Amino acid sequence: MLQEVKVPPAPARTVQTPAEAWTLQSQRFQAKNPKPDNAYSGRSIQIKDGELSSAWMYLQRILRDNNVRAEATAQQRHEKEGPKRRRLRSERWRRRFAEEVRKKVRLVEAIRRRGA
Amino acid sequence: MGAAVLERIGNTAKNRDPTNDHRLCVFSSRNNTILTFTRPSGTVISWTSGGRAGFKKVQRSSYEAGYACALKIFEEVKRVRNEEKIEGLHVLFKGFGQGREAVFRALLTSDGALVKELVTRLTDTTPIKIGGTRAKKARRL
Repeated sequence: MLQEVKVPPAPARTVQTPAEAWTLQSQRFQAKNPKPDNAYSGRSIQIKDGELSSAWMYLQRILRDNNVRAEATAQQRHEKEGPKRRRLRSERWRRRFAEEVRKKVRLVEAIRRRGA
Repeated sequence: MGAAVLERIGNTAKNRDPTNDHRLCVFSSRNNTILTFTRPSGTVISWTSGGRAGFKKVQRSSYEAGYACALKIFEEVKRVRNEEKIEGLHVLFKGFGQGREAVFRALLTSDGALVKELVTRLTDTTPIKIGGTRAKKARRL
């Protein structure tokens, strides 16, 4: 027979309503993450120790990850609904096709690794 | 950085108040590149463009024009640096023309060495619409 171990009771938690809990979370988050100054704050980089090149590369990365260049170019001219639908259909198909090819290639690689 | 943040972390040399930075605005479009050098308040000190650099029409948007503009504006920056105190230089890029890369490369050359030391911040301010107004219709070439 197992010896019964005395477990101390769990400490009483302060009962919070969901609203209170969310408010507290929100306050904590805002304290740690101050509001951005303007719409371009996310694409703004402070330069440390005269490291201009690395700052530039970091900026390029931010712009690439957020498709800034592509969006800016696309927004220059209005795309009507017909051409837009055609472009989206074509993009979606190419995305699906590429994924299928990727799966097949991965399968082949896996088989080769197994040594078949 | 907001004032609230500075209060918290202190205004040391590492966390200078960026509201006293001079600004170098690089606007690079498909047709031209224009550079504007301003005071922290926003008052323009001087500006230059592809046309001012001696190029005409389509050449104004080229890489060379952008480079020439950069050199011209660097002279202005150096002049102001000798006359007044420049706490920091904030470089803002708008648009993705050839002049954008040209100006940055110019900063890395020997001509831009003095200006490069002053630079404290790089920002991209290319306007991005969220919805927004309808653009011109597509050109059918």
